[in-house]
Amino acid sequence: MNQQIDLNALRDAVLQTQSQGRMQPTDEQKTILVSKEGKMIMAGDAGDEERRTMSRVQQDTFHGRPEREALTVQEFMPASTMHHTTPEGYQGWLYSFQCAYGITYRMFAFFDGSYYQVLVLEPKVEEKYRSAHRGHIFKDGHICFGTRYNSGRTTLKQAYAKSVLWATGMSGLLLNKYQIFPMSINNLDD
Amino acid sequence: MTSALFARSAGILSEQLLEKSVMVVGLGSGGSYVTECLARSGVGRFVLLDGECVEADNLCRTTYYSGDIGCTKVSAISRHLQNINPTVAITPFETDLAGVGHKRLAAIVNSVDLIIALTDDPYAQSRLNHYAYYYNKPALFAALYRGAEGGEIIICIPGKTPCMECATGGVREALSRPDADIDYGTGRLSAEPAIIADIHHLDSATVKLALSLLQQDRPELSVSKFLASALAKKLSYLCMSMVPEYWVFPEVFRNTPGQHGYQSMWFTVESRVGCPFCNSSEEREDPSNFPLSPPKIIMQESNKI
Repeated sequence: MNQQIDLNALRDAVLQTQSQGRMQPTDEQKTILVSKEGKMIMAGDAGDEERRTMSRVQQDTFHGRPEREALTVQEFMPASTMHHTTPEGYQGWLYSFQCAYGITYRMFAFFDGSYYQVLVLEPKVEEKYRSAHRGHIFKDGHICFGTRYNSGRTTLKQAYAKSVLWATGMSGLLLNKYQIFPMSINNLDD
Repeated sequence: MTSALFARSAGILSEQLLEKSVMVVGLGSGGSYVTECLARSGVGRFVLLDGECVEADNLCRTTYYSGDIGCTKVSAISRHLQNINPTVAITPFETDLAGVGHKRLAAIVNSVDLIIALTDDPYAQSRLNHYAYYYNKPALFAALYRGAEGGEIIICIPGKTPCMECATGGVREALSRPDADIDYGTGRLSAEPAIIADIHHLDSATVKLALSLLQQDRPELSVSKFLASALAKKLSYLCMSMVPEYWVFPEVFRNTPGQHGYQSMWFTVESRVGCPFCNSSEEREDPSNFPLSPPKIIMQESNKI
């Protein structure tokens, strides 16, 4: 292993993985390996023997989950976002925003032990669409973001971002701009 | 009496099963049948979990009787098990998963040899997957596809196979599996018309896989070899069809003569990068730190934003 590592490429790979909220890159070639002697190499430049004998670096941020969440809140979420602990013991973030149609939404994003879920607090729409597959919201008020990840998202940032998209779609329904949820192709009728 | 349970399974099963403990979550069409079959096969300890009562429309595809109507499914199945084996040990929980409590569930999971998740609630299935993997317990996840025309059994053995979420998020998605619909009102899978023969075809395979998992420490037994040989080929996801020309089966068996309904395929599951359940241990969260029921927030002035 005599080759020089491109530290800029390594840094780019690490930051990209972190921005995706992952431990390891989606591109296996960008896995970083460390030798017994403390040298680093990208998996794409490593041979079979090196891949077998070297340690894989976990590329997540140098923070725990609470600190990562706080950074996400600070950088990507509304300034008024507040930390909140529910009576059941969930810790999460209360936030509020106005959607593209001018309706104000209040939501609670929390980690359920596996993924990030978002509960819609206001307006109360879960009852309106209780028996329908129209609103992509469950009876308990949490948004169905998709079939994967327990209907949640893998990062707080993704959950927040998609909650804004969902709110815009829901407002389109609430204001009768659309007959079906406009932000999804898998709607079902009442 | 108990030795009579093994009178017809010499060389296939062992009396060790009397000491094995199985947690069955969900006692509907699948759970009632699987639990009774395991008791008849000699499994001696059960943890049973279900919050519902037996209704008349359950009788057509479960093992309940008319006399069970109105009883909790847990109490009804407990009676059935005691009629099969009076020495059977049962720990009953007449509640859904959330009602058990996140801390107590950890203790229960730790106490059993195998978890069989047969609920119609994808969220409960996922939480059981998390507990099973975190507490190093093997688990089976069985689910029927639309109309019980097909079904799947996912075998999860921590350290040996990827978890259920990797299977459902990988193989299932890649093959556009004909999933059942989720009822947004309950978050559970919608009940669909299906006949008992199709439902229990899958359940029968679940029973055999459960027995095989419970006897992995007895490799000389033929039931043990059934799963061991699949795992040796890295096969941990079984798909079955109960009807002809189903899903991808005609494509797969296109050049094989004599094909019709009742087909099966085994898949290899790859662990997903960043999986919060079966990825490297440092990043996993202890599931017992998180409540099982969803949060309820009443907006007050103090938390208005």
